[in-house]
Order: sequence, then structure tokens, then C-alpha cells
Amino acid sequence: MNRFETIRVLDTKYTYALGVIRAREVKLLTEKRFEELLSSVGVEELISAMHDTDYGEYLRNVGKYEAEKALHAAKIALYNDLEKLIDDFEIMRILRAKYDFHNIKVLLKGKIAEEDFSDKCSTIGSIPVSKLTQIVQEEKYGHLPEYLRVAVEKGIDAYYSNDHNPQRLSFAVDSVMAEMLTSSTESPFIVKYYKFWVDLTNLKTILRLLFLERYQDLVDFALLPGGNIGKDTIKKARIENSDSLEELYRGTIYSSLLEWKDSFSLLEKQSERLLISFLKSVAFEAIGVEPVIAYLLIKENEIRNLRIIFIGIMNGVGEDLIKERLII
Amino acid sequence: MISGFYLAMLGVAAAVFLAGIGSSIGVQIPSRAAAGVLSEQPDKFGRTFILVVLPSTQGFYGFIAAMFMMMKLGMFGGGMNYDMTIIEGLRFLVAGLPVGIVGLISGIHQGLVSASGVELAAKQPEATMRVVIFAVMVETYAILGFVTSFLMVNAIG
Repeated sequence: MNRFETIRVLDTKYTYALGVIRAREVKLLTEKRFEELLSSVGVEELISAMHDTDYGEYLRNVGKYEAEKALHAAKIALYNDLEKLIDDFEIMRILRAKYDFHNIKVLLKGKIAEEDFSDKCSTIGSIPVSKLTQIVQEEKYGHLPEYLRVAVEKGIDAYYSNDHNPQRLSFAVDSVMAEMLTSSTESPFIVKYYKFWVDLTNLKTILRLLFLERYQDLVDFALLPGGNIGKDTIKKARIENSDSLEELYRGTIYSSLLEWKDSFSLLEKQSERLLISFLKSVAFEAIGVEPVIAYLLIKENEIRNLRIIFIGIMNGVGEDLIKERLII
Repeated sequence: MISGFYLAMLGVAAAVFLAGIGSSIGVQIPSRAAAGVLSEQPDKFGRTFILVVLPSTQGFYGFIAAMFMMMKLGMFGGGMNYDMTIIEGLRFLVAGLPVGIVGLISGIHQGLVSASGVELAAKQPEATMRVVIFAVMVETYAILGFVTSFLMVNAIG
């Protein structure tokens, strides 16, 4: 990384990309549009209602059971488009890394179960699934990039030293991912976003562990490192119940979330909303890569919302219940 | 030995050079944003053009101030005073600085305001003219720099 920080006022590398993004932001689905889509009767009607959106080209001639695949194709195209647009390999590598970690977790669990889980992998990761599958099958982990090699080593170690528990493998890989994402040097915005994400994930994890009465057993493994509220600070707080959480989070941006501590689904929704509002806070930046990254993550959330609508409508779930799950 | 004449020429060069840099950086910022917007919405050319062009004026102010300084130095009439004293030369050098320095800084910042306007044009085309007014506010200081340089050159005997 450059020894000197780029002079912010001259950081115009992404100005072209920003222009494109601003023009595309107009096409983001609004709350009203989501409500219109929600009122569709059946998946066929939903598909035809989406023909004039960004997703129209992916949903053309698609059957009701293929819509999810079409949305995934739109997500792949989104990443590929932005990669071409910002032309910054390092930033894209960080943004794609979460899918690499997901894939390595899936493949390692597949290896443990002696099954081929490669169809459960995401093609958005920076390493092709076929290459990753081959590496895991042949156990040639030295061919992996440093961040994944460390994840594999720690994951396997956690699995074997904890009675062959695949959950520990997941915890270990997630920890390496959190460490990597919160310490990357490519973009302070990405670091800030993921620190925020780690804090929210830890808060939800603590509440779940307390609910399951397994906080003391799993707190060392389940919490992610790298957040604004460090793992050590949380451990030192000696949390015994959800009330003692308020002491820890008092005065932080997360304290308002504790209002929903009795409902995991509402807490999940509110924490996602907090993340989205953080992303939207850079909407007025005239320069820098932040609005481009924010657009990618907001669009990813939009695709997730559409997936919820598709699955909900396909399974006959009520409009209100689906709407409750949407992060708008 | 430093000649007053060379200091005066340095003043002329500073006016053109600094204001020109401000304009070229200032124009490239909204130009790139406009290219991005036009790749998605080609019909926005008219609305983005005025915002792209605005930061170019600093360069012109610097050039006009330099022309005025050169006329004062007798460059066009063949009456150049090569034996000017250091104090006389310094007057020209200092007179070139307001238009040059203010042009450099205001050009870059006007470019940033214009780039925001170009981005706004993509989302709310009807609001574009409001941002033009904001960009013109930055222009005011470039004009003040130019007028100051003009008066300073004029005051040189």
C-alpha cells in the first residue's frame, strides 16, 4: 500500500464508475415497487411484473422454479460488471472473499461427509469453484491464497481438536474471514463496514447463545474478532443474561437494537437495516470508491429481498409476513 | 544575478500555469463523471455539458491576466524593459499570484461541485440547474482573484 494516504480531494480514480452508478441507482427498486411486486398473485405474475426492472433480462422465458437461479445470475453479473467498472482487483478480491470463505467451508464439510458439495458453492468467489474443489480433493492447500490457507488450517485443526465437530470448523473459518475483512488495507470504508457487521453478528450470536444456554461453553469460539467492540471486551463483560448485555452496549449505536432482543427475526431485520443505513450514508460522496461499494452491497440486499418475495409467493406465504422479512 | 525582468515573466507564467492546472484538473473530474452517466443515459449530454465546462474559466482568467501583464511589460509593442529592477519585477510576480493560486484551488473545487452536479443530473435531471448555481458560487472567488490581479497590474506604473 502507498505509504502516504491519497489526498482525498484528488481521489478521482472512480469518478467514471460513480457516474455510471448514479445513473443505475435510479433503477434501484423502491419500497413502493416492492409492495407492487408483493401483491402479485403467483410467481408467473411476479416474473411478468419484473420485466421492466434490471432483472427483466434474466427472468425472460424463465419457469417458476428457475427464478431463483435467474436472480443468482443477476448477482453474478452485478459483481462482474462492477469489477470491469472499477478496475481494481484488490477491492474486488475483498468483496468476493466472503464467497471464497463460504465455498471453502462447504467443500471442507463435503470432504468430511465424503460427499460432493460443489453444487452448493457460489460462483461469485474470486477463485473458480472447480479449482477450489480440486485443491480440497487433493488436499493441496498450499495452492490457496494465504487468507484461505490459514482458514483451512485453523478450520481443520478446530474440527479435529473438538470431537470432529463441523460447527467448530465453521466458527474457525468465520473468524479468519472476519480478521481478514476487518484488517484489509485496500479501503477504509470496507473495513468500517465489516467492523460494523462483526459487531452486529456478535450481538446476535450472544443473544442466541444465551437463549440456548450455551454462552459459557461457546463464547470463545463463536464470537468473531475484529469488531469495534473487541472479543476480549465482550468476554470481560461476563455476560450472564440479556439484561447484562445492555451494560456492554450502552452508549453505542447498537444499544437501540436491544429493544428487539426477544425476537430474533426482528433483531435480524433491524440489524440489517442498520447496515443498509450505514451504506446509504455515503450516498452523497462525490468522489472515492465508497458509493460504488455501497451500491454493490445495496443491490445485493435488493436481490436477497427479491429472493424472499419469490420463495414466499411460491410457498403461498402471506403478503404481510413476506414484507416483514424484507430489508428496505 | 536575478533580473527584475525574469521575476516579471515568472509572474506572467504563474498566472497562466497555476490557473491552467486548476482548470484542467477541475474539468477532468466532472468529465469522467459525465462519461459514466452518458454511458447509461446518453440523453443527458446537454445537462452535463454546462457543468463540465464551468471549471475551464479559471484557465481563461489566468490567460487574460497574463496577456494584460505582457501588454503592461510592453511585450507586444517592442518596448520591453529588460533592465527592470528587482522591485519592479516583483510587483508583476506578486500581481500574477492571486489569479493563479485562487484559480488553481477554485478550479479543483469547482470540478468537485460540478461532478456532484453531473451525478445529480443522472438521478434528478430537473435539479441540475440548482447545482450550476452552487458551482457558480465557487466561480465568484476565481473572479475575485482575477480582478485583484487586474487591479494590481493596473497599479504598476
